[in-house]
Amino acid sequence: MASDPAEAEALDCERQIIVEAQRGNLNALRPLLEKYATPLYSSVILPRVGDAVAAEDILRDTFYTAVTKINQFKWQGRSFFAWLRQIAVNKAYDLHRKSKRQRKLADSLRRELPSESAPESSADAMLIAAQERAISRERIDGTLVEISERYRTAIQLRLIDELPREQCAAKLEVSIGTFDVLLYRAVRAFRKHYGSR
Amino acid sequence: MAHDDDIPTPDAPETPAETAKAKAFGELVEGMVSDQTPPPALAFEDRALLETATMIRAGSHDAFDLPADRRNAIIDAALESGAGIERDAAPQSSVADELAQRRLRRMAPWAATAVAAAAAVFLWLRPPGGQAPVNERPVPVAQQSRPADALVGRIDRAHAGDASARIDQMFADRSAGYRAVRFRRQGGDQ
Repeated sequence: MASDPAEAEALDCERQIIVEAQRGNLNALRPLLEKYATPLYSSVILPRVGDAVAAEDILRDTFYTAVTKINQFKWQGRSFFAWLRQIAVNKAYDLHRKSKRQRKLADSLRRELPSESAPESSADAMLIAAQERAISRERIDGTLVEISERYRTAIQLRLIDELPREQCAAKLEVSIGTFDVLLYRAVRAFRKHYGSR
Repeated sequence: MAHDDDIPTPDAPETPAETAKAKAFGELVEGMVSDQTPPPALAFEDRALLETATMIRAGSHDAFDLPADRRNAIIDAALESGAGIERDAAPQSSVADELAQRRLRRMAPWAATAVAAAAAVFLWLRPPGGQAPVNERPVPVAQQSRPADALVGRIDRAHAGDASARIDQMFADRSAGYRAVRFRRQGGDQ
C-alpha cells in the first residue's frame, strides 16, 4: 500500500486511468505504458532472457496482453506495474521453456514463479524495479561463487564493471588474447551453473 | 567450487580453436557493451554465451535502455491490436453469414446438375404418350390369383379321399393360365 501522500496520489491517478481504459478508452493506458516500458524491459525482461530482440518481443506481447485483457485487471491498491511484471515474467518463462538451450534456465525461473508476489510489499513501480534488480543480482552473485575465482574476476571486470578488454587484461596481468580465453571460459562456466540453481 | 569436466581450468593451455572462438566471443561482448545489435546469424553456442553475458550485465545494473522510438512503436502496436480486437468482436455474425453464402454459392452448380440429372432419368423412364401401359390391360380371370372353391366345388364326404384328383384338377387349371401368359409374351395370343 502507498506509504506517502505523493505515492497515494500517483496510485489514484493510475486507478483512474485503468477505470477509463476498462470503459473502452484503451488509449488512456498510453501514459502508463510509456512510464513502465523501460523499467519493465531493462529490469524485468532483459535480465531474464539476455537477448535484446527477444526482450522487445516479450515487452510487446506483455503490453498486448495487458491491453486486450485490461477488463480482467482488478485494482488492489498496487501499482499497475506489478501486474505488467507478472505477465512479463510468465512470458519470459514461456520463451525459455520453448527454447532447448534455455531449458535449464526455464526450470530455474519456474522455481522463482511462486515467489513472484514477494516484491508486492511496495506499490511504487520504481521500487519494484529496484527489487527486481536486487533479485537478479543475488542470482548472479550466487552463481559467481560457484565458479573459479579467476573466472569470477574476469566476469566482474568485463561485464559488471564494464572495463575495456585492455584494462581487464592488465589487471589480470595477461595478454588481451589470454583474457579473451579467460572470459570465454568464465561465461561458459557461469552458464553451466546458472540454470542449475 | 564445482569442477566442470568440459570447461578447462584457468591455467589450462588454450588450443588454437579455443583461442579463435574466444576472440570471436570477445568481439561479440565488445559489441554488446557498445549497445550494438548482434549479427543475426550466430552459432548456437555463441548466441547462448552472448545471452548469458547480456543477462549478467542487465541483471547487475541499468545498462540497457530502450530507445524512445522502439518504445513508442511497441506501445502503438499494442494499443492498435487491442482496438482491432474490439472492432473484430462485433461483426462476428456477418462473418458467419458470409461463410454460409459462400457455401451456398459453391453448392449451387452441383444442386442444379443433380436436378437436371433427375429430370433426365424421369423422362427416360416415363413411357411414351398414346400407349397404355401393359399393366393397365385387363387380366383374364384364368391368369388371376383366385381361390379354387369355384373350380373344386363342395367336397362330399364320400369323395373326401379323392384329394389327388382335386389337386390334379387345380394344377391343370392353373397351368392353362400360365401357358396363356407365356404364349402372349412370346407373341401368341389366346
